[in-house]
Amino acid sequence: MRPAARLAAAVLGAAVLAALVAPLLPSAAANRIDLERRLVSPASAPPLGTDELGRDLFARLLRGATVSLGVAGAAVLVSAAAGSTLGLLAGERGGAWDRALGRLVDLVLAFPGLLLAVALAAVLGPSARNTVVALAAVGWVPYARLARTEARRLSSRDFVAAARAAGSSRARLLAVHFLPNVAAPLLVQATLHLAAAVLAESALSFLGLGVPPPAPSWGAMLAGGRTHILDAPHVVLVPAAAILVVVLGTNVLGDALVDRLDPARRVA
Amino acid sequence: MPPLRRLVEVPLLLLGAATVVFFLIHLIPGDPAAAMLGEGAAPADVAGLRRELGLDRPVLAQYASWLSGLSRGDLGSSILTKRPVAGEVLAAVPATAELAGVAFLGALLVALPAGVAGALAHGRPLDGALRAASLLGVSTPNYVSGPLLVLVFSVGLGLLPVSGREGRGAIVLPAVTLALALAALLSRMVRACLSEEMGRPYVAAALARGERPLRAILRHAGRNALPPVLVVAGLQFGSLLTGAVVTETIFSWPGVGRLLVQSIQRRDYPLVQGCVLFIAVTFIVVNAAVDAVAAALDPRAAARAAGEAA
Repeated sequence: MRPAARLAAAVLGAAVLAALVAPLLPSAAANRIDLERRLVSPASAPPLGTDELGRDLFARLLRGATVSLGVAGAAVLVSAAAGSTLGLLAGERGGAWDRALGRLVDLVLAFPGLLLAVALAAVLGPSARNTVVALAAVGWVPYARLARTEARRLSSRDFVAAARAAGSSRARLLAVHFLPNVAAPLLVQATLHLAAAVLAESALSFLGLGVPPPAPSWGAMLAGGRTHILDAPHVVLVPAAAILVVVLGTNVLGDALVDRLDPARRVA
Repeated sequence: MPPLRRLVEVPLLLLGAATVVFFLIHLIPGDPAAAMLGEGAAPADVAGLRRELGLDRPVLAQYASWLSGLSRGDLGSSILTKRPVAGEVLAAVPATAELAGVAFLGALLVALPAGVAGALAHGRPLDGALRAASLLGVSTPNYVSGPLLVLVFSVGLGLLPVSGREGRGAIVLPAVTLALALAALLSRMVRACLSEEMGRPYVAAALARGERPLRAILRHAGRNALPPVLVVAGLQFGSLLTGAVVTETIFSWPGVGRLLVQSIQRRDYPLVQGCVLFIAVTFIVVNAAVDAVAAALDPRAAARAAGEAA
């Protein structure tokens, strides 16, 4: 692995560790309001200062890792599971199933980027679960396309015909013969998707459509600090840096994974 | 997919988008009319709104009247202002069009030279620096870059206004915020496409004839690299539209994106539907146009796409 990819992996590992450890720490610290100590700079209240309600930014950043990475991770898992199942089924069955999936994909892709997630989050109401639903409603498409293409290719292969002739059930066929063949590209997609999901979760929270307050999501912290950007820029800079580092790290790592796992690029 | 089939599909996609937007209101947990009026609304008012929105009728009847309304350009009325949704949305369109247009042109103006420079300097420090910059640009979401730009240029240097649409400089920060990620993505794309074309025999032949690399790129490689770049640029117009939702909110830019967020906050769902539908329709139409232009520019790509679809 290249040094940049190694550094990225280390940074991401630290963020994931923070997300896992934060719930074990005393939870009160992240939400303790102290109006006497509003917007205190990092210099006077180490390590990162306090926000507009006097809450400790370091504690909120850690808890925010749990919220932001947790919601994004859940969205990736749900998207990957739903998308690859639908894609494999449609690809293996072909015919009407395949056409139906194609229509469904077209329908989701008729909405640019986050628009559908924003609309869904808006009508469903802000909550962690609804954020996952909104993100997964858009996020499953690339997995489905990958799995579908691969399944179409595989379904005409001899070993698949042999498995079918031997009486293998469809579930077994897909799980044992198809899934291992699509696992690598799906994994690359999941890595890249995690960065996108962290961004999307933060964007929804930033717009007030994500996990509701007082839960500290990085996007919501950023939005909350924006009104105080004149007198206390650190309230914005802290979550901004966290988002930037995680997304940059995931992108670098994702690029390295693509280079490693994509056979076409490996030959080149 | 062959472009012709795509053009045939455009009406289907529009119908699909209209259908999804219609059903949005039915995804609201509980009684949509009660949700729109908020807690503490009188039951009579809720019943009145329900009747006004037609929510007391069968869903299919509602759907039919939604579609027939759409065909007449009638998207219902705003809960808050009581004015027609179509008019409210259209009033916000010029601001978004201005912002997206300026950002799009700005991104192209930065990305094309940066991509050419990267391809010319392939593997040298300048190329590395440009790639690092574009990676940073791709990884910086607009809700991070927006506040940071405000911090530097409005708060720190006092050069540009923090928000709003008044004054000549007002568009600079929102446009830069919106253009940043697109410029980064496009410059990567331009560099990759040009590098690929640079490796082809016809470019080697041009170089062997004594043409300068820059001239070879602009005259020969550029002609072949342009269509895929244009396609990506065109398709990214959609991300520009959604990016505008966040960017307009940050800078209080009075466009469709900010109208959408405000309507969500006010639970003015007919207006939410109008904004979402407008953005989706724009996206579908722009994409179809991009496909058609790309096919005209490069018949090979169209043939490839046709082969894939078969």
